[in-house]
Amino acid sequence: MKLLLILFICRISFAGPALVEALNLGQFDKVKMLLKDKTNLSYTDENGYDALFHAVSLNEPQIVSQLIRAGSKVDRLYDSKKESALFEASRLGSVKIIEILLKKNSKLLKLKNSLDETVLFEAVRSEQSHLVKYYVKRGLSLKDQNREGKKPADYLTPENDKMKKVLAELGTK
Amino acid sequence: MNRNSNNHAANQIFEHLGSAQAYKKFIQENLKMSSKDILMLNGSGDRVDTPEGPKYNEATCEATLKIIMDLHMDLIANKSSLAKVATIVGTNSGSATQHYNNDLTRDSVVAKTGTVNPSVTLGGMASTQKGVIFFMFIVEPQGNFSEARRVIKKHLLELITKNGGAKPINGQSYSFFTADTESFSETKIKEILK
Repeated sequence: MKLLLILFICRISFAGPALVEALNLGQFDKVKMLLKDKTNLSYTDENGYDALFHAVSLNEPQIVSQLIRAGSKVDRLYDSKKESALFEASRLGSVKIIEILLKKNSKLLKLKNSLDETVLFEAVRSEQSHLVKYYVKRGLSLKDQNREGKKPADYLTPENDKMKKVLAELGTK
Repeated sequence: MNRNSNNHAANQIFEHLGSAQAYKKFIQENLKMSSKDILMLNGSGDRVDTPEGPKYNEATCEATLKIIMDLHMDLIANKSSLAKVATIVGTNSGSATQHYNNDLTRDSVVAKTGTVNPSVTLGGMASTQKGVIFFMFIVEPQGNFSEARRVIKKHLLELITKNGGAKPINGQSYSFFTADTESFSETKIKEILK
């Protein structure tokens, strides 16, 4: 009985790391199997990232959906900047993942990080002009200012002509 | 295989071509490099368990760059290019598009990703306003794969902006690239079937 209990505890302790490792090694069949086993979804690695963050970071919309269905929380904040997974999806430019996250919790859209920035700032910084259009359409403002008093357009890369065009169409720069 | 990783297929080809010994000979004779520059233990990039402990393939950035450029020149000589056989970011599907697609890389970067426990890599070429630049990044993730990719993305964007910005290649790639004269490409098959 004791042995069974130890084995059970070991299974819970190692299920989280196994899920994160399987995700990062692209072993998605193993991910599915681990999810069936009610793997510990709240496990975070040494950097504070859980399975959902890794799936977003890998730009895997299907896995993101599966994790959310299995119970992953979408409102967790990561890193010292206290950013939601929506920021990571914005870095990658993934509208699919952004819509999956917002469908689960629409409040994520206006959630600011510790620098007082919305995901619109991240879209400009990450050279994702299509997301700038998308976020403005969904109600975010290009007039928002961060802690330094800067607006999203202040982070424009001069060599990015697509972003220049989008910002001009939206009435800035 | 160059777009969507397939470790098993890569290893099968490597073994078919003569395995580690034949590769060592190939790089010495054709690329004038030694095992100090590149050491291939298998074709998959997966871990190899040896009596001395687990080992991985090893290569310097310089060696990998040399191989990418050599492959590109070989393809050019055969009226092709790297863009025809690897992921054009944003144009083709594949891990390079999944991780590195943005306004400055879209349709101007051709690359292949690599991810194993000791390293996260990206190698390929960027078409910029000042010309084509070949690159190779090898980052030790130390458990943080996302951060490693962010570091690569930052350096890749710097490379493009420092060279005047991106220059789209309007690339088209083969859906299947034939390795010898006896096999047909998908395009050729479609032509025959018409």
